[in-house]
Amino acid sequence: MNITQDYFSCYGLPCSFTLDLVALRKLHHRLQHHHHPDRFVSESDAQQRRAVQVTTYLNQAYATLSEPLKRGIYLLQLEGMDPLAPTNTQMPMDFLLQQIELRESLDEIHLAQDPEAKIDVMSALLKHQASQLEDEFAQAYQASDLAVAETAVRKLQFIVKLQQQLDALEGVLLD
Amino acid sequence: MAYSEQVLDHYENPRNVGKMDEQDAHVGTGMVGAPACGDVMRLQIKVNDSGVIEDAKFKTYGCGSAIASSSLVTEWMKGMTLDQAGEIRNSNISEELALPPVKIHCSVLAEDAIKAAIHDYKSKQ
Repeated sequence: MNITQDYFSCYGLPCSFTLDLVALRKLHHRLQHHHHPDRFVSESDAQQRRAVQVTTYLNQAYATLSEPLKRGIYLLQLEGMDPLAPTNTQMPMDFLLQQIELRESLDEIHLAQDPEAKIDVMSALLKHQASQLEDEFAQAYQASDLAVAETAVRKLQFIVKLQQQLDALEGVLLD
Repeated sequence: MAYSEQVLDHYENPRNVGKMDEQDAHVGTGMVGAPACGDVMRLQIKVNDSGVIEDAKFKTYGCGSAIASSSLVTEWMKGMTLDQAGEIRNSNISEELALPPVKIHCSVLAEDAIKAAIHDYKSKQ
């Protein structure tokens, strides 16, 4: 196992945003089993270290490819791009306006009579937006329109963060 | 990570939080976002006929450093000309707030918000 190759190649997959997650999990488990450090306990120190390195690499590969957001960022990084560069603060105005509105409603959820219902509504909206952005990214990446793909994945990052905040709020309010 | 006293002061008592009428020809609105941390910042300036910033407001959804950075620049900008405000650099902000390296991007966000607000105001004239 060459641990300097890209994460798609290690599973024998083409670089693509569209991925069969069930097949990926099976491939991952097979490779993970094959390279598991437990199988190398009677081998040399060097081989044991190697098995640990390969396992770590495979875990990173799986964690990256199995999450749409991480997979999108990774695909652009393979193209030499840095979609989350802290110096890039330009986002489409309508998107930022909507983000501010969503955060305002998030701040007010705890005041609502039925916060759980509000949380469900917002969660459904965020899931819908995330899935639209994933489709947008997949199409743009397929068409090698990397600028459009980058905007989509940057937007997706905001949506995922907001979903995390919403989950955290749900934990605080409903537990 | 510990916040500096300057950051805590602005975070606990943010100056100039609010919203101005975006349609007003004297108001410039800058909106920026940092995907890495999911911060969103809206910065608005009200400019008088002699090109001096009379008032500034902000609303920031983000961490303490991002809120402090925007709060600080709204204080700084009042009374400045557009050119003076356009010269505010993120290094001025991070120095004043003693931001650690991992939070420098918050001051970048504030600098870019100022530029965006000035640009919006000028495009309306």
